[in-house]
Amino acid sequence: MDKKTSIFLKKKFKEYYFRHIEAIESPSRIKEREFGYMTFDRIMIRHISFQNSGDMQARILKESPNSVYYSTSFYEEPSLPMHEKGWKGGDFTFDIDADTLSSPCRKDHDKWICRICGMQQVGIKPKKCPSCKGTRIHEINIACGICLDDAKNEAIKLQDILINDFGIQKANIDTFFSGSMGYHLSIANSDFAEANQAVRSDIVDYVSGQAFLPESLGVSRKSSYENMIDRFPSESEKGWRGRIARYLKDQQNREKHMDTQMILTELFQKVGYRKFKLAIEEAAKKSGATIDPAVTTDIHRILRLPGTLHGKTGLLKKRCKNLENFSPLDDAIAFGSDPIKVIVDDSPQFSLMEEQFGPFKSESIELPMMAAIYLLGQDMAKVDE
Amino acid sequence: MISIDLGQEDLAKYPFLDEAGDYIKARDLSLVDISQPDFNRVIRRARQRVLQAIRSREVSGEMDTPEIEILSFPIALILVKAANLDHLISRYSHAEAIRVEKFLEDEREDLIVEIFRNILKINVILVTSKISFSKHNYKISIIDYLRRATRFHELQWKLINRTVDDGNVYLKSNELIRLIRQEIESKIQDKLKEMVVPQLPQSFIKTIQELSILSPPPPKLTGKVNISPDKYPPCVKAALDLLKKGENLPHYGRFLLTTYLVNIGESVDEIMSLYSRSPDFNERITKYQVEHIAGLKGGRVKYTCPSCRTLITHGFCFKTKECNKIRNPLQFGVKTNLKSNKKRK
Ligand code: SF4
Ligand SMILES: [Zn+2]
Ligand SMILES: [Zn+2]
Repeated sequence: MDKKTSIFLKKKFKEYYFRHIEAIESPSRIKEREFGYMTFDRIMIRHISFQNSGDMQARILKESPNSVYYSTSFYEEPSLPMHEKGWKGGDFTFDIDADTLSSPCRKDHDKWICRICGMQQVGIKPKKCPSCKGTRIHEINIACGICLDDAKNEAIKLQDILINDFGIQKANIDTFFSGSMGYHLSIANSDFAEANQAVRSDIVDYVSGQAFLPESLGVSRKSSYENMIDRFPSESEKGWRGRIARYLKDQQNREKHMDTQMILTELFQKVGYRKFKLAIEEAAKKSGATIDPAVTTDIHRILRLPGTLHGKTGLLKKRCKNLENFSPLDDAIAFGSDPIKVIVDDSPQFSLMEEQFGPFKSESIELPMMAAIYLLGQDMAKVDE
Repeated sequence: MISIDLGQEDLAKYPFLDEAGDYIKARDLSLVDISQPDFNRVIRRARQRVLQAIRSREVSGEMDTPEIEILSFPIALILVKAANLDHLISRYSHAEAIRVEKFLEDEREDLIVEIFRNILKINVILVTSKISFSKHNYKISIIDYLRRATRFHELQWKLINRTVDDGNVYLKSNELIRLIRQEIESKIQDKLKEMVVPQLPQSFIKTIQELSILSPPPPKLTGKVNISPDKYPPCVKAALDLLKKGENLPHYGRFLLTTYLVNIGESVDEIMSLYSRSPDFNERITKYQVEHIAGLKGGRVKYTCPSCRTLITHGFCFKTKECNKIRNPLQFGVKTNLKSNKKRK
C-alpha cells in the first residue's frame, strides 16, 4: 500500500471513530485483558492494557489503527510479556471463516499471485505454482454474499450445538460478523472459562463432528443384526445420535415413510461396518460446524474488537442481534456513498448494499466511499493523485 | 460431610473417608495400644495390604471383620510412609485405588453420589429416565467430565461419543468410576505425602524393614530405541533448539519433547539434563513432570507422543518433506524407512 493510500485510510477511519466511538464494545473484565493493534504501516503493537472503556476508546480514536484486537483470555498482568502475564481464564470462542469452506463461488472471486514468478490467476490457490512449481503463493480472497451465507449457516449449526448440547443460553452467546470473511462466537463466564487446551480441543472435535464412532450409534464390527434397529437413534434423540439421524433422514427425503432407524439398519446391512463407518463420519462432519480449531484451543489468542473497523474491508466487526436475518454486506457497512476517485489495479466483481461493482482492471474510476475503501484496504486500488 | 448414614461396613470399604478417621479417633487408640497382641490381626492385615500392593498391585477387600479393615488402613499408610520409598507410595496408592474401585462398582447409588460430591467435589446427579438406547444411571456436567476424560486416549471417551444433553454427560456406573480412579489414587497419595511419621514401637520397625526389602526397585524405562538427535523429527528438533538457546519452551513443546524422548527410551536423568538449561528450570517440578509423563508417578499411565494433527493445532509442527505422511512424530524415520524397503523389493 502506498503512503498516500494509507494516510487516506487512516484519516477516514479516524473520522469514523470520531462519530461512532461509543459503538466500540468493551469486553467484560477489561482491566484483565491484553489489547493490541496494527497500524496502517503494518506495525503490530501488543501487550497494552486499559483501566476502563474510556481509556480504550480514547486510544483507538487517537491511533485510528488498521485493526484493533483484544485477548480472549484474562490475565493477572495483561501488559507483561506472554509468559509472565499469569493466565486466569478465557472466554470460550469460535471462529468461522468463509475461506475454509468450499463454497462454489470461491473459484470466481478468489485470486492468487505467485511470489516467485509473478503468475496470477482467478480461482482457488493451488499448492504449487503451475508455471514455476514454487510454493510461495499469495492469495487474495474476498467474500461474497454466497460464501458469507455459507459461513452463516456454519454459525447457526454451531449455535444450535452450543444451545442444545452444552446447555448454553442463546442470550449468552455473543455472535459477531468478523468484518471480513466470517463469524466469531464468544461465550463469557461459562463453565469453560478455565478449561485447558486439551478440554478445548475435545470440544472443537465435538462441535465440528470429528471422530464420531459407529459404536456410539449402537453397532460395532461384530454387531449382530438382532435388535439392531432398536439401538439406532430416532430423529428426536438428543446430542450427536439425533443429529446423525436427522442428517440421514434429510438425505433420504424421497422415501419419507422410512424412519431413521430403518434407514440406518438398511445401510449397515447393505455396506457392512467399514463403509458404514465412513458414511457416518461423513454425516458427522457435514452436520458439525466448520470452525478454525486454533482460535478455540489457543488460550493466548487476540481477536478483533467488536465495533471496530476491519482494515482490509472497512466493514465493522458487528454484533448480530439476530443471526438468521443478519446480512453482513448491508449491516456491517460503516462508510457512506460520497464519491471518491481511485485507481483500481485489479478487482473481481463484488457487491455492497445491494449495489454491484466491478470487475475492474487498471482503471481510474469514481466509487462510493464504502466501495473505494473496500478496494483500498485490500490493496486492489490506490487513491488518485 | 456425608449426609447419609454410614455403617461400619461402608467405612471399611472406604477408609479414606473423614468419617473413618472420626471412627478411629473415637476409639482413642495409641500406636502402643495397637502394637499389643490384642491388635495382632490389625497389624497383620496392614502388612498384608502393603504386600498385596507390592506383589499383585491390588489390595483385596476383606470384609469379614470391618473393624480390622478400618484400623489397618492408617497403619498401612504409616508402614508405607516410614519405608520412605517414592515408588512404594505410588504403587500402594494405586493398589488401594483399585480396591476402592471394585467396591464402588457394586455400591448403592446414593452412596456413590455422596462420595463423589464430598470427596471429589463432583456434582453427580442420578438419572431416572432413559435418554438413549443404553441405560445411564448418572449425569455430570460437561466440564467435570472433560477435565478427567481428556486423560484417556481411546476415542470412546471423546465427548462426541458420549450421550450429551443440555450441558450434561450421561454415564453408566462403571464409566463414572473409571473416570475418577486417578483421583482416588491421588487422594491416598496426598494423605501419604502430608503424613508425618510418629514415634514407632519396635515391632513396627521390623515390618517396615521387611517391606522395604520386598519392595521392587523403581521401574526401568523400557527398550531404548537409540535414535540419534540428528534423526529426530523437525518438531522435536525445534523444541530442542529452543531449549539450547535458553529460550522458554511453550508448554506444548515441552510435552512433545518429553513424551517423545520417554517413548524412544531416554532416561529421566538424560531428559532432566536437557531441561536444566531452561531459564525457568525448577528441578523438583521438572522431575515430577518428567516422571509423571514417563508413567513413574501418579499411576501407570505412560503418555504417548501427541499426534501430528494435535501439534499442528498447537502451532508446533515444523513439517518437512521427510515427515511424509506420518501421523505421529514417533513414526518419523520409521515409516519412511519401511516404505523405501518395500520399494527395493
Ligand atoms: S509432521 Fe509431525 S513429525 Fe513432522 S514436524 Fe509436523 S508434527 Fe513433527
Ligand atoms: Zn510461479
Ligand atoms: Zn463467495
